Amino acid sequence: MLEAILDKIRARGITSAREVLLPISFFVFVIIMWQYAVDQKYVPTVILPPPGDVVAVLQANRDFMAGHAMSTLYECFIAFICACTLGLSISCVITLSYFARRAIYPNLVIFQLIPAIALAPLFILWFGIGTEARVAYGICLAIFPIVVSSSTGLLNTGSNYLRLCQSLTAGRWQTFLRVRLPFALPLIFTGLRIGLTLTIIGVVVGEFVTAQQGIGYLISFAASGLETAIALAAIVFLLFVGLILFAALVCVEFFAFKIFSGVSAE
Amino acid sequence: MTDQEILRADAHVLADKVQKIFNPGKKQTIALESIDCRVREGEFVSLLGPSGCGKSTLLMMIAGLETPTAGGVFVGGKPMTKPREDIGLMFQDPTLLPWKSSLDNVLFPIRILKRDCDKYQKAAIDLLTRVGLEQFLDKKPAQLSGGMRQRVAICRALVYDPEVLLMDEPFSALDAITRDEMNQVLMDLWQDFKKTGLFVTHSIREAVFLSDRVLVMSARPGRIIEDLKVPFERPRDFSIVDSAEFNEICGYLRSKIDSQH
Amino acid sequence: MTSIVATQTKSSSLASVRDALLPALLFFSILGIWEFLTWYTDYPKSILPRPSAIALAIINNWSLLTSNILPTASVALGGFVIASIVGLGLSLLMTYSKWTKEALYPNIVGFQIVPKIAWAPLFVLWLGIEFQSRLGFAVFISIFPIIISMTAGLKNTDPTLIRLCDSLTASKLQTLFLVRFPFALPYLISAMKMSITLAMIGVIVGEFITSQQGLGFLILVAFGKLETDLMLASVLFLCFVGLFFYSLIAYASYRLEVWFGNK
Repeated sequence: MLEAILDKIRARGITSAREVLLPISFFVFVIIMWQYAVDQKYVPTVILPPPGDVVAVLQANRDFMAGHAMSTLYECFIAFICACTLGLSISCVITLSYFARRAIYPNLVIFQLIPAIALAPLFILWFGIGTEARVAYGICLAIFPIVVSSSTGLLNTGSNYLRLCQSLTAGRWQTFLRVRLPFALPLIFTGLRIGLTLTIIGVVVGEFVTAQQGIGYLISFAASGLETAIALAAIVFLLFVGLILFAALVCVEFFAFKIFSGVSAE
Repeated sequence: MTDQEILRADAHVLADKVQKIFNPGKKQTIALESIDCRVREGEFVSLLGPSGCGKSTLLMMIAGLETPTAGGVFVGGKPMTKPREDIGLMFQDPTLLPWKSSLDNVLFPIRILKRDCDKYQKAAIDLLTRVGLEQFLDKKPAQLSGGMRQRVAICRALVYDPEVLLMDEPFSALDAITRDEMNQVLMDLWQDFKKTGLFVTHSIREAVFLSDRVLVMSARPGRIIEDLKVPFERPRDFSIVDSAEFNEICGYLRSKIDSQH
Repeated sequence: MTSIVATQTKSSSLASVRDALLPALLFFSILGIWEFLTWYTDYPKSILPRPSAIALAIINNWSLLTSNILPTASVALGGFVIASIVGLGLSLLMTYSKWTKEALYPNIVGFQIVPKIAWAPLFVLWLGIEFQSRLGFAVFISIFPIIISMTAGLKNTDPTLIRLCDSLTASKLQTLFLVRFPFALPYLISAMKMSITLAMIGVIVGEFITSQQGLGFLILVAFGKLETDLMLASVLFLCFVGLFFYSLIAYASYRLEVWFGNK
C-alpha cells in the first residue's frame, strides 16, 4: 500500500493539485458530516462520539494508551520476526530438498485452508494468557502465507535461467543465491506483507480473547463499556502501530532489492 | 463546385494539411507536420516509414479515434469527428476476445452495431472458409496459431462491410513465413472485396507487393516525402516479388528512407 | 537442479503415484505419532487430545456440531455476497467516474492500513449482539479486496480492444458488458478467494466476541469447559465450511479458464 503511494509520487510527481485535494476534501467532508450528524442528534453519542471527543480522549490518555500500543507493537514485532525466520527457513528447505518439497508442500497448501483464527482459545490453553500465547498465535497465522508465497517464488524460476546455471555448472547453493533468491524477492515480500497483516490480526484477536493488555484489549474493553470514543482513539493508536511495522518492512524490502541488484551487477 | 469540393469528391479518404501536436505547450512534440494524403475509392495505399514517424497517429485520426491539431480528415466527403460504421480497423495484435470462438469473434462487430447476427452468420462462415479456417469455427483464440488469429481479425474487419479498411501494421508481429502467407491472403480478399485500403507498415516489400501506391513518410515530425505508383497489374501473383522491377522499386524506396538519416 | 532433470526424464506414472503418496504419508505419520505419543505419555486430554478422541467427539456431538454450521455459514456467505455486490458497484462507479475515483480511492487504500479486525467490538456496539453485527463486520472486512482488485481489473483491459470498440461506435455500456467486465472476471475470482476467507474470519471473530450460536461460539463454550476434543472438532467443521466455499470459487475459476479457452 504504502509503497504504491510512494511509487506514484516517484513515478510522475503529483501531477495535478486535484489529485491531492480531492481525496483530502472528501476525508474532511466525512469528518464534518460526522460532526454534523452528532450535533443534530441523528446518532447518539454512544454509537458515534463527535470527532472532538476522540481527540480529547487521545490527549487525556496519551501515555496510558501509548503503553498498550507499545505492548501490541512489541508482540507483533517478535511474532513477525519469528514467523519470518521460521517461514523462510522452511521454504529454503522445500526449495533445496526434493523429498521435503514433495512431502511438505501439498500439506502446507491444505493447512492454509484451516481457519487458523479459530484456534485462538487453543493457544490460551497451551501458553496461558500472557505474551507467549499472543505471539505464538500471531506466528501461527502468519507463517503459512509466508511459506507458501516464498516457496512458490523460489520454485518457479524460469526454466531457461535454471538451464543456464546448469550449463555453467553452478552448484545448488550458487543457483539458489544467485538466481532463485533474487528472482523470488517480489513474491517473498508479497508473502511477508500478507504475513505482517496476519501477525497484527493474530496479536489483536489474541488481545481480544486473553483480555490482559494491548490495544485489542483496550478496544474490546472500551466497547463493552460503551466508551466508543476510547475505542476509536485506540484504533488510531493501532493505525500507528500498523504504520510503523509496514514502514519498517518497506525499508527492509528497499534494501533487499538494492543489495541484490548490486550482486547481479558484479 | 469549389476546388475544395472537387478535391473531396475525388478522394474517398482525404487528409488535408493535417497536423498533430502532442502536449501542446512547452514540452510539445510535433508528431505530424502538415500531411496531405488522398486515397481514391477502391485504391490500396501503403504508408511506409520508420517507427515513430506518426503513421499510426495519422491512421487513428482517419479512424476518428484522434483529433488533428490543425487541418481536416474527410472520409466519403464528410469530416471525421468520431468513429463511424463505414470504417474497419485492424491492429498489430489480433485483439480477439479470448472467451469467444472464431465465429463469435468475427460476429463481434455485428453485435456491437446491433445488427441481426443470424443474417450475418453465413457471411461470417464464408469469410472464415475463404481464409482457410472452416475447421476452426468453434475454436477459441488460445487454440489458434498467431497467423490464424490474424486471419480471424481480417474476417472481423470485413464482416460488417465497411467501405474503408485501415490496417495498422497488422502482420508485423508474425514470423516471416507466416507474414508472406498473410500478404497473399489479404491480396486474395482484396481482389474480391475492392475496398478502399490504407495500410501502415515498415516493411518495404510488403508495401510494394500489396499496394497501388506507396507513400513514404519521414522521421518525426512526419511528412510525406515520396508518392510512388506501383506499376504491377492486378490480379498479382506472389512470383512478382522475385522480378527485377520489384526489387528495383524496393531499392528506390529504401534509398528514399535512408536519405532521411 | 538435478531434481528438475529427474522429474523431466522420469515423468512416468510411478513418479505421479509417489507425488500423491509422499504428502499423504507425511500427513498420516504425523497423525500416528501424535496419537502414539499422547497415548504413551498419557498426555492430558484437555491440553492435547488424541486424534481418535477428536473423531469420537465428532460422533458424540454430531447433532450439536451440525446444528451450529448454518448460523456461521449463512452469515459468512451473506456477508461475502453483500461485499461482492457492493464492492463491484463501487469499483464500477470508480471506473466510470474519474471524480469519484480520485476522491474515494486514496481514502480506501489509506483505510486499508488500519488493521480492520480491531473494529469488531465496535460493530457489536453499533449493531447489537444478534447476527447483524457479525454480518456487518463480515461485509466490512471482506469488501476491500473486491474493490481494489476489481478496480484494477476493470482498468487493465487491453487498450487496443477498447480502441476497437470505439472504432465500432460501441456505447460505454456495450464496452463494459462485452469487453471490460469479462476481462476483469479473473481479478474478481481471485479477489473472491481472499474475500470469502476474510468473511469467515470476520464471522468467527464476531462469534468469539459475542454470540449464542455458531461454530465459533461452540469453540468458546468447549474451551470454557476444557473439552478440547470438542473444540478441535468444531475447528475441523469450520475447515469443512471454509473448504466448501473455497472449492465453489475454485470451481468457478476453473469454469472461467475453460470459458477463456485456456483449458
